[in-house]
Amino acid sequence: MLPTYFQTYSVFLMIICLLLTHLYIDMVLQKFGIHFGLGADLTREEDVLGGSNLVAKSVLYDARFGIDKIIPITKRLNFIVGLDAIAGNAKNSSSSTGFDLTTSSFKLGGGPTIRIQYHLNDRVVFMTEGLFYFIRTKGEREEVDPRTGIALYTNTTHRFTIAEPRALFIGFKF
Amino acid sequence: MKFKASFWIIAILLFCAVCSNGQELDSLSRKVDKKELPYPWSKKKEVALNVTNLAKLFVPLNFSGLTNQDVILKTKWYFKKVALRIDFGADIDFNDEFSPGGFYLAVGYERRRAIYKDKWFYTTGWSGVITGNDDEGVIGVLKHFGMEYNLHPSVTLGTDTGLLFGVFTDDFNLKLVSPTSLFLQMRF
Repeated sequence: MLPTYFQTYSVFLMIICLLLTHLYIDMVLQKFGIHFGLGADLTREEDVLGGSNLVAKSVLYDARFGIDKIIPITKRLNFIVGLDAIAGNAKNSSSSTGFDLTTSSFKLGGGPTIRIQYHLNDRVVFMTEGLFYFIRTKGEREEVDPRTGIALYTNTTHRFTIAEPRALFIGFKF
Repeated sequence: MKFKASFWIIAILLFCAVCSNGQELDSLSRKVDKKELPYPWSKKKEVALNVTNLAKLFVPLNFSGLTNQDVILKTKWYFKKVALRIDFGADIDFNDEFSPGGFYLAVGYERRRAIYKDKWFYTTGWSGVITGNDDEGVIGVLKHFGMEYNLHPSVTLGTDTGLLFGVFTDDFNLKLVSPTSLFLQMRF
């Protein structure tokens, strides 16, 4: 018997395609569940040999939290309707011979989600999802030029997107 | 390009058909409600997600220059024989001015008929369509045709094509919508 109606904890790892989160933890209580996901990406590049002394850094992280309602379709297949809240931050900076450029953005939003879960067995679950997110992003761009000084630009964008399933998660139940 | 992608989508459907040939899918007909509903899908709701991009990761559907259909989500509310069908797709950026990156909404009706046993079906119907992106906007009428394969009485894999005619930005025009998207559909 597959543990659809039991209290279970699942850890989902994204195995294909990079989307919002790479790690996804799901707790199922009867026919409802709560979940949270995390994603992060840090890079640092230096170009010393090229003579420009270019240093580029990038820090990205995303988090989301949501509630789910589980609708069993078959013994192995679940259809899940959820509501998510998401937040994320991105900062990219590069500097070279006195010139600095820094862009940063903070996003906040959320919306309904649709997930499809397939239970391979009692322990292993595959999952994919479609997202209906409204996201507000506040961005900043700072340019430092030794000749002209510092210039700061800000902007705010609002975006509504319906994202089709692009990622496949594999989950392990315990 | 579109032909190749369509070919692969049909191939996937055929592959699924062969793989699950041994399964007992004929239970679909047994599940017909005792109140003599004409079809197993009568009085049911259906939700379909566009899984083309996911499928591209497993099979060689990814031909350059090819874009999928704009529909991400299809919802169907079946009455006895006919369904109210609403298709969505959106990627809208609200900046200084309302500039849709992509938007799709279709509302219409659909009928489903069996082609082969309880496994292969075709669907047809009419929808009113409003869609737009950075390049063009369309208001028109779509005659759609679909082909579906039942993986399970409640799970279907399918694709859609259609003939869209209406006003394309400022000209009346006709467009064949190629079956370049694969949908995973659930019934409940």
